[in-house]
Amino acid sequence: MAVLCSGQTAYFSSCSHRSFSKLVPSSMPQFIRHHRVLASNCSPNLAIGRSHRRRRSSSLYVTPSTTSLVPVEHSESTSVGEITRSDFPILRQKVNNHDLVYMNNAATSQKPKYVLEALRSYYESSNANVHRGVHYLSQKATTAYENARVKVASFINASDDREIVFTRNATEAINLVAHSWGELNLSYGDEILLTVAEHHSAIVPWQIVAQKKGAVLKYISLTADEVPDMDQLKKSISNKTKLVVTHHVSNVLGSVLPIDEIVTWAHSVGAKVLVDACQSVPHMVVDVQKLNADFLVASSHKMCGPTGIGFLFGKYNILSCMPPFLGGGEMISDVYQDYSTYAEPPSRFEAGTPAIAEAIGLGAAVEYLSGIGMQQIHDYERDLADYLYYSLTSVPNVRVYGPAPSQITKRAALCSFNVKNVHPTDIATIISEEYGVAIRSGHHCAQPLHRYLGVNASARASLYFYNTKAEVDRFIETLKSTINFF
Amino acid sequence: MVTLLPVVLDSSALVTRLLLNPNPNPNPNLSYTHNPFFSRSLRTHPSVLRCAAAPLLASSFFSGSSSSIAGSAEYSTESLSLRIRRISNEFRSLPESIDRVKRLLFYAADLPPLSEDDRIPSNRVTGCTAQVWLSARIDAAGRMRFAADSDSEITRGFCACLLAAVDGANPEDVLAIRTVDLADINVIGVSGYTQSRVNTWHNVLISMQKRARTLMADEESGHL
Repeated sequence: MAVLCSGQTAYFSSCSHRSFSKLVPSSMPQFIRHHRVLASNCSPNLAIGRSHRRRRSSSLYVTPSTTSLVPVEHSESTSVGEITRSDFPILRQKVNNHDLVYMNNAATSQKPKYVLEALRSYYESSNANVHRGVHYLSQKATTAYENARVKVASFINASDDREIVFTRNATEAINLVAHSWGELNLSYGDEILLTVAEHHSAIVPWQIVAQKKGAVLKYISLTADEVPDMDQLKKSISNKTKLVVTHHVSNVLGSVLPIDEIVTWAHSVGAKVLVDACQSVPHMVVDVQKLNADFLVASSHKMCGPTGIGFLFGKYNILSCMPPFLGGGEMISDVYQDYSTYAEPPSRFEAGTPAIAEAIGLGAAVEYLSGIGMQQIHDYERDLADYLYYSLTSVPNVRVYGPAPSQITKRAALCSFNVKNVHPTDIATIISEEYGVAIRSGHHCAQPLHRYLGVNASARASLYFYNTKAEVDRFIETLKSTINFF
Repeated sequence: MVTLLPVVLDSSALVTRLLLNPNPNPNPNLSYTHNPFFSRSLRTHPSVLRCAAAPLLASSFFSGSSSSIAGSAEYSTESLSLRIRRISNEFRSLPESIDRVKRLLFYAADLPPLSEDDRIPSNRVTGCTAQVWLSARIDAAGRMRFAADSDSEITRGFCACLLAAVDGANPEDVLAIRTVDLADINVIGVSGYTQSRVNTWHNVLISMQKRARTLMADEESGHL
């Protein structure tokens, strides 16, 4: 790993973990292929250079080292999960005398040492406010912060890092679009299309704006296979449609939607598309240029990064026409007693001191994931997803929501389910307290979907690349014991 | 109506049932229909024997409050405090969280179901991961009378404990309860934390206090 680290940035050279180098193919990882331009977050004494458009001071950017990457070191029989687990100290603990089995990754992911080290390093050697000083630390912090934006842009293949706006989380990113773009572009009788499977964060902001503007929310229901009905969505798009709000991967159903097709249909009538990618960006290659969506949001904490930071991707020509969401420092150009002029995006939407360390941590998370390779993560998780689904559906009296996997239908590595005659919260409590298995229960911020499914709540096991089939086996075994408990 | 196994109906459980249900359900034959997955099987399933490991302090906990609730004229702030302390002591004596869960399930088994008339949206306790219904009224003696139910057995256990503490208390005393006083009945997480959104008993207690406040205001304004 040390070789790989030094091959990317000074940040990598400072990281101590070695496990994910075992997964790195001899070819360059996606992140490095796309952007060989990342600056060190640590060292200010680096050469300057950048392959495409620069933002703010060009002195913030540096050229990477060209050290070659190491080949795969590990046995091919070892899974991604088994190799990467050692990067996550939190997973080593025991809960109620049992090895922790963490399967609540759709709620939040765990953080690798690499990200923890990035946070520690920032506070130990770079802490300062960004864009607010010419002194050494301020430049260092600003460099690291802006490089995090470049890393995120690279990760989702945005054509311009000005298209990445840092927010507190995906929820704030959606609120930003709702209140800024929505206030400006929605009017009486306009329609916003959503699926019934949206997360509350993709519903409530639009309810608020729609009530103000007299717009209408229209919901797309599910097919018999419990997937949002794409035929219905296509037919529902009309000249009244101004926006389609849709998830990429459902946090309850585990289904994956064809965003590129949805975008084509929406654009044919001039409507915009906002993609909730919270459950896709951490788990698969997401290319915003290929998807061609107008807005896309994701949260850092679901992708190995810190809490308190997320991002909005918006096409620059759209962002540049949007008014500010919040007012304050950093987002202005000039302030007079009676009025102000505003900075260009993304600064226009980042009022006040941002979550600097968290953004840098997100940048480190992106590096970490890219080091493994998002396609490798996705391939591994697909296998885990099927294993989880078929293991769970083999348990008597268990009902799993969402589509059955097939050659055509691919599920995410999560299953929401109910057990006949036992409340999901009781299941989640017992399986945690008695066996140390962490799953979630409740409506998963998707009450409309649960009502549609005819239940008030469900239990959910959601996996990430550091989970293993052995853990799935452990989960199933303890679930059976929990059911017998009742 | 499910028949209880004899082993569940031991003396302490009978006391429990009596105390938790000072006003027996007028229609005990009502069954659960809201949740198709819900059944009352826990109360009769043989595995309940494991859940219903005999409460160490159940006898003193409930017998101590028996006279207070039965003889409501003697109910006082002190007795409410005593009840809460006994509940806290009982759960504090169970260091393993799974044992606290089992204790809750034990008490849940004897909580009478809420009537259908009371399982209405206005009685829903919001913010819980399970569905909880809470009915409240002030009796002729001016004391708060609560009944509660849930589609989760563990939550029913929480409700049973809360009812054992506050049912029959003066409204002012209900309002004076602090959530930290009942922190020991937490069954998950770190002992003493009280603010999680998934902390059902916390939401139920807050709801009890809101209802008490509203009923007091109604009484003062003559809207009974």
